[in-house]
Amino acid sequence: MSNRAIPNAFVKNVLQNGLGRYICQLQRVTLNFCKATPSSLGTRDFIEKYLVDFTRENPGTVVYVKPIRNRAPFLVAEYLNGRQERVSTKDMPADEVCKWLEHLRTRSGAQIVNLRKEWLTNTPSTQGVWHPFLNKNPSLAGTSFPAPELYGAKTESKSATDMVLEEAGVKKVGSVDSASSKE
Amino acid sequence: MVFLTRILNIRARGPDPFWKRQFAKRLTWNFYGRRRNCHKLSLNYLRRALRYSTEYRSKLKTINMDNLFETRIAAGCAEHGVEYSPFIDTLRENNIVLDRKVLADLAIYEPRTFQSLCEVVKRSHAEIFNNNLNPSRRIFTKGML
Repeated sequence: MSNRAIPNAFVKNVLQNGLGRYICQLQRVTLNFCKATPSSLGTRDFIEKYLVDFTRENPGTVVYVKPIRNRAPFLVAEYLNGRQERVSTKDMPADEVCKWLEHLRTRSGAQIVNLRKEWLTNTPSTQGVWHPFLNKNPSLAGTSFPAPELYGAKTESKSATDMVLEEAGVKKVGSVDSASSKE
Repeated sequence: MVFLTRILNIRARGPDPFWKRQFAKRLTWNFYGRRRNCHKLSLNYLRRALRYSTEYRSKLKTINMDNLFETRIAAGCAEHGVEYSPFIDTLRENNIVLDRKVLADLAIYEPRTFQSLCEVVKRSHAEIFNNNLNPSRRIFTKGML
């Protein structure tokens, strides 16, 4: 029940980001805060101390600072895939706001769901994926049917009948000698 | 104060039941009939479903997965003329500590590596066989017999 009911997905990467050039998926960050209330104190400290450095380090991300009177502070991160993430920074100290911003910066915009598998690869196999004809005799592709010598049961070793017939000098159809087996 | 009706709601009543039912609906959306639509009925079946999922996680999942890996490894071995139990035992004896999940993945995605593992098993068996032919190991034939 829980596996079907709870949303899940395989690991995703945005257009193989990082394989060539890494592109930060965070498009826009808006910091909403109040200039007076105590719950915004940490956010205000963050804006004073760390915000300008953040903008210099991330020239590809647009940063908006939006004062709103008498409302609890929050961050809104918007990603290149159009999704938004909201983080309430109410009563958070400045370094915690830093950590949240760092978390949002390093995310792809994908929704956080249960992962069905921890890894993702386009090339799961280096030797070639197994197929039913991999370990079979390739001359099978060139045989023309009907081929009566292939229709008997494959014997691993000589049977007593085979030994007797060999003594007598007769080749039996379907025995080890006459079958075109790999080993 | 102008708004007098609001005061009547000051007594703390707990979370809005709407959200509790919403949470249950998230987990029972795929149930059959009234268990999906009627909240009181769905609670019983939801509890059972949650119990089943914890039981599956702790016991049945490992059993099912192990059986699956066993089937895949046995199928891969059979192509090279080895059986499952001797294969696993011999690898352990030769200090190859690959678990069954990895062996099953190798059988599918790296068939040549799997073939060489089967080869290791066959050679190990041949060595044991030859050693047992000459248990005292004091008779040296140098291939002349």
